[in-house]
Amino acid sequence: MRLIIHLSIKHLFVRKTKTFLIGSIILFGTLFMVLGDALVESMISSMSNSIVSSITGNIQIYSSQTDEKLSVVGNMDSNFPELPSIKDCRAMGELLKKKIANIKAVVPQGINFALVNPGNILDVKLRELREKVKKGEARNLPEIEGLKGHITTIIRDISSNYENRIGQAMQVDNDEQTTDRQSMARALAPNFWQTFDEHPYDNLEFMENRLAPLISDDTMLYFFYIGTPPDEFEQNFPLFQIVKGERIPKGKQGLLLNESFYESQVKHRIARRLDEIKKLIEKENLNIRDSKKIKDLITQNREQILEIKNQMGPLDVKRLSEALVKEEIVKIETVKGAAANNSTGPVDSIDNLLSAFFDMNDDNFLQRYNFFYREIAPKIILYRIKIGEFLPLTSLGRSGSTTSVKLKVYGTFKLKNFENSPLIGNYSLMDLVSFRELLGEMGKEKRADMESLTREIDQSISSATSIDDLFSKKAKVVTKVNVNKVTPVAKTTATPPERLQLEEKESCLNAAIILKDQSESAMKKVLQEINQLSKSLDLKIQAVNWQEAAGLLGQLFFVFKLFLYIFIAIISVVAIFIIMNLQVMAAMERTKEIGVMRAIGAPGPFVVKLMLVESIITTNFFGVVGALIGMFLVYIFGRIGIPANGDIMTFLFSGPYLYPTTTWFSLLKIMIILNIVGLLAAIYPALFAAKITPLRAMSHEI
Amino acid sequence: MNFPKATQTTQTTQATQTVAEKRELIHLENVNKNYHLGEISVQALKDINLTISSCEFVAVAGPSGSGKSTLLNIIGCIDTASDGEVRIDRESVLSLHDHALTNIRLHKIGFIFQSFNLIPVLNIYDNIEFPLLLKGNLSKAEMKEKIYHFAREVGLIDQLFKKPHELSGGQRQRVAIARALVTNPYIVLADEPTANLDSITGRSIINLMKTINETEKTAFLFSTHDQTIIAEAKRVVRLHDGKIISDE
Repeated sequence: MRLIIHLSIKHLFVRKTKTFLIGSIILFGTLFMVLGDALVESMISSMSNSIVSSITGNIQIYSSQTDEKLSVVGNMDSNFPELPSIKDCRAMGELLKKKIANIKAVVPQGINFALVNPGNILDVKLRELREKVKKGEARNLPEIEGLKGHITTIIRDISSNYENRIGQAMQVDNDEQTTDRQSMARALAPNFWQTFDEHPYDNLEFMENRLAPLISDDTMLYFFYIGTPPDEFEQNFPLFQIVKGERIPKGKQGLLLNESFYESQVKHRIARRLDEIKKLIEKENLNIRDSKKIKDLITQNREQILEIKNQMGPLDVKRLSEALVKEEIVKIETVKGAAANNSTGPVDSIDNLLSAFFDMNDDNFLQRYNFFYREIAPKIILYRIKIGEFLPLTSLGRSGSTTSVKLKVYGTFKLKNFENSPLIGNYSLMDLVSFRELLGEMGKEKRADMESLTREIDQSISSATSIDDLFSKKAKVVTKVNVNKVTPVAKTTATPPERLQLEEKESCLNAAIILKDQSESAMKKVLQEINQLSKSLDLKIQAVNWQEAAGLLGQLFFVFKLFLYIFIAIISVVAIFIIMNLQVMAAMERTKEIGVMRAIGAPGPFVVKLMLVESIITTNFFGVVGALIGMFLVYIFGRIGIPANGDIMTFLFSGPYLYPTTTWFSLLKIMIILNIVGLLAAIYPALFAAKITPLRAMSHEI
Repeated sequence: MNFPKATQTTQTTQATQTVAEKRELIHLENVNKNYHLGEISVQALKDINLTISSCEFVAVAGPSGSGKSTLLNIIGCIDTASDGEVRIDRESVLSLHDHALTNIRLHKIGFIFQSFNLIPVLNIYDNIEFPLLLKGNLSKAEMKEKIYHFAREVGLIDQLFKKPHELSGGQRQRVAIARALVTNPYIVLADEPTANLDSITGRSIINLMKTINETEKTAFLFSTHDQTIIAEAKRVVRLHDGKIISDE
């Protein structure tokens, strides 16, 4: 072997060019493998930590009485499995903690989907008017008059758009059209506000039920929510952070909206577009002049200035017009130019001024962006849901019917590293009691409420002397909900009292288990222990690891790994073929030398060994150099971080930077792969060389 | 197959043996060699009968294409006869496999080539050491002693750590001779050992071989068509068209 190693090293030195060529392939292959491996492993590790620390915990438990698989983050089709409840989550958690020492906490959870109608601009203005009427404020105060004027302007816009909409998408039968037209005519009649003052509540109800639904905009909001005890969630999921407002107080029912959802769905859409343009300019280095995407956003904003105008009262419109002209944000000449084409009003009307204002370019964007938030945003409804307001949520319950609950929005939160995640960014958070109510699983308190209501209805039915009595004004109104047109009844009801949460010891759909020792082996052990315990004590639960529970995200890791392995496989196969060819060429060049060795007495296996050892030496030498350079680069990137460019990268990196690391195990894995590559690449050339006979090599020599 | 241990075969004992009895080293009986070039069959050797004993210094003479190289290839176990009997050290080699033939080449035969054919990446010391390492039955010290002995014999003791390309043609052929002798073979086969050398150097190489033949008692069989070199041989086998036309 000494001779073989000695000869191999000498050969490698003598054939420097070929050695360097093969070495370079190995060096760069190793370098890319180390970097790729570090990148993917760090990404997976970073995302794993983020998922474990933000939503799933280390292990999830759920009922074993189902064939459905738990998927906390949803499946490919965005659906969630229908899971039976775990009857008493609290007791279950205590039992598991008692029996399994490694369990730190068990956090009850459940996931469902809600839709909410926060109301359109007319709803909002009518709500403001209702408050003022309720407070008994004087009728002719300028502020109330301004509000009434604003409502009239909105109704006029509804009226002028109505015929267009009938012609386009809205399908309304003739009777309904007549009613709609009569309603609008009634509200726009000159004496409407006089009669309003005589019967304000009737008129408010008329406008809320007949006119507000005629505004067609994207008022419905859809989001997923996690039902969980908020304080326990915060304690056990360190990536949870309050962004706006406050936490849900202990023992209270309430809702925390996801900040990402709040900014991307709840915010005024013109403001959203401005934010997006700013992000595209600052983060992706685009400019308005060259980017079609930004130009489209600007065009959309200009087409929807009505959504700004409608939200401002006459006084605000006047102030804004003055500010736009005074601060020379919009030059009158520009307005004239824009107005000459497509305006109907006076040259300096708010429509023309806003249209000119939103016609932004690279020079004025930042100035106008700041002006928007300074002057326009305070005058409009920047967020359709206000922190602190009560929101009527509707969810699909177990029975298949919808259930509504009105909840206070305490604030917004984010799960750090998942701020821009399309999957997790849409999750809001509510207390477990409300969650159960929306699911149709009534707790003790709700059951008591329902029983009392049933009794009351029974009494009124039994005490009624005729059918008319049941439907008289004294009787409770039963409203048939028309999902297409009528806003939820709950909107007009009084604010519910903030109730105490009395039912903590009840059911949940699933629960997150946080471990003390979070290593892979410890997790596997606990998984087994829970499943065994469930079997022996008939707990009717099953445990899955976070990756399985993460559903779509868990599958994403497999995809990443698959990509890594495909990448490594491609590098390896390419390297094998290149090295093999170079080695065969080298063997052919050495035919004479190999022939001499064979003639002198070197057996065939000697030649095979010689070629293999040469390959292994080259592979390991250049592989180690490549790995060292790779490790150095990983170390440097690990120190400075790789910046995430864009939302997808931020999601993949679980934050604005990825700090890659590598492990000795990874390096060992790569070196093993390299040696396999080196050997595979050398086998054919070695066998080729071994077949060189002394006679062929020396045909003209001996 | 039992091979004699080369280390035990010192110069003195070998000399004593050869004096005591002339061993038959090579025996060819009715050997023919046919080559097939497509449909044409060429008979390179015809009915060759030849015996070479230990200590002999034999030249195979003949014009180009007379079958000299083919004869040496068959004797050196590099090629096989089409028919007939070939015995090396009284062992028939016709039915042996590659591994056994390799062993015969390693232990019983030394080779000297026309183009020297030293391993270019190794220095002179390593080149001479190469077959010893293949045999692998000597200690490092024993190998060193042998290498120095033969380097001295061929007059290259001062050139041991040079690379082949730093030496002249004659010097390289001397290295080849040392490499061929270092395993104490029974016979050294040399195919046109002087063909690439000038006449003076060629003569000196033949003289060196002759000296070693006398001192080491190693048999030499070399091919040549140079009449002045043929004159140095003790026995000359002449070939013509694959046939032995004289053996004197």
